[in-house]
Amino acid sequence: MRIRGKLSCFTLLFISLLMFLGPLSCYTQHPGQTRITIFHINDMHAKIDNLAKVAWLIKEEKKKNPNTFFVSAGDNFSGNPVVDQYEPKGEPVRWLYSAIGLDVLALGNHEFDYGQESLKRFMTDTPFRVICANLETSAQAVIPQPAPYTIIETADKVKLAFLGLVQVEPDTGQPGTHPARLGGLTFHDPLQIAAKYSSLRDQCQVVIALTHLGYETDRKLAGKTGFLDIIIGGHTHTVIKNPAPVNGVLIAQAGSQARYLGRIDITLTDGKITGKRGLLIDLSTIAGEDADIKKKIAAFNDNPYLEKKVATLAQPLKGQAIIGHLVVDAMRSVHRLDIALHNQGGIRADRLAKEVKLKAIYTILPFGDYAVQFNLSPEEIRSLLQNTFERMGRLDLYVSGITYTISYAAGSKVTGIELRDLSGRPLDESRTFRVGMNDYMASSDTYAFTHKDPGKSLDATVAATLVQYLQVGQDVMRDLDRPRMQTRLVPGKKK
Amino acid sequence: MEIWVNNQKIDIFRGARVKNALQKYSEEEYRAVLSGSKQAADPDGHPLELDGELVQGDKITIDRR
Repeated sequence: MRIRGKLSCFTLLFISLLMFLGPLSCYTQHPGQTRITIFHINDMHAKIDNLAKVAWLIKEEKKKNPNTFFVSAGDNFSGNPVVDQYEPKGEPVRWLYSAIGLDVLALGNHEFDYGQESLKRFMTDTPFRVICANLETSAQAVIPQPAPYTIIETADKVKLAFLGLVQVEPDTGQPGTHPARLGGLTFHDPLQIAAKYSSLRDQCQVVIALTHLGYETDRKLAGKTGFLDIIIGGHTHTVIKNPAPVNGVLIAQAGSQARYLGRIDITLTDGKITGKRGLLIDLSTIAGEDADIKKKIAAFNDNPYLEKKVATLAQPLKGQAIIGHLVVDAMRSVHRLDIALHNQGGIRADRLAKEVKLKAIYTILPFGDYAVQFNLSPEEIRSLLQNTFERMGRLDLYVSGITYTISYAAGSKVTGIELRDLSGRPLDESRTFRVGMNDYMASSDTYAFTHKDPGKSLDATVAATLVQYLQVGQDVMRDLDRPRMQTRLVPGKKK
Repeated sequence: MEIWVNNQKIDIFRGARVKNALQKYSEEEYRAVLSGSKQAADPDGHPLELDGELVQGDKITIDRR
């Protein structure tokens, strides 16, 4: 076992060396030739731990080739409380990208998650360029108008253009984040906008779309526009191990969460592209790390922010139902819903100290579930409650905004469900209600229900929702111990 | 929005991720992907990570690794 372990380590190192050095042997620079290397990352989602490896790889490459660049195809925020709850939010990413020497960043939909004030700082107080061509700001916007593209010139006067494009949901015309964060911003169709920048072809030897559109849309972009050489994409977290050309355009994407670093090598001969190819570097196979960046990441991870006090409650909370009620009250209040529901299995703690620390929130809600909204009729709400009760054989769903009583017969067969508003009146059967739940409930068969409304993500985790609710802190203790759901066993008929 | 998993149409909420579509398609298949015995991929065979965001019309296949 010992020898095998050593061999595995050796093999990993050997493979990593091959992956890293392999492309170099194919791109020996000759007179009249320019060799350019672009490292790319996307959908990092605040997972900063591998950035010391990224820094090391880029630094090593820059020693060999000054024409080495590093770009991000969006969604650098949301997914790690160390970054998401930092003050100011997202600062570890800003600091690390600045120190590593990020050159260009295209906005993704989750760049808006912390709000425009945070994004403004990210866009202005940084050495890297932030681009987005299909975003138009008005006077009401907090962020400045980003440049649609940027041009980088190498030492030997080769010009590379990077055109930024962010995804837009077809039904809302906005990127996938909470609409409240997008005041004063108008988003345009990325494919139509891209076509307007065909003149970049005349100005630059290499034209790259740095997109946050998803792989399928990148394919459409490659098919529609005739002036791009490369698309470096994001959004769908697609692991493109061997980027291939579509309509002559090389499309690359590097998974997510900094598990991979993408690398594209471009060769130009007398100013014309004569070679382009990409690969993915699996960062788990890389042993090298930049010591300074590693130290800083450790400091960010060891920060006191998870120990940060979120709120002080009037008294400590005990009992899973009480905590469950707090969670659904938070969902209903923060997302302005009529009703909120959460499954018991998703609540993983049964007490909360009077001094609520951030760490406790992520102990209660460790799964990173997102909040989802459906517009449901009372009948559709009943279908959810009935299906859940009959499958689980017990009450499972914490509720806010209504109370419910399930009547059932032997074998957990539901015979009727009574829904009442908070005044005790039966729900109006003629209308629909804004109902929130976590994304697990919205997808799992256990919680199957009939619904005409397809539903939409509220683009916030339930944990972040609870933090926000407690920080506002108005009357959060009200009615937490009041029973909100009950069952009534209907006796069987005597023979 | 409509997503296709193994050529089967799945109606799912807007903003859903790969994991949501797999769960909706089959809890068993979702668990297989989660455990690593199977892999979700796009039509070109590129692996998809579970937290990948989906857009209307996306197609996913689930294959053995």
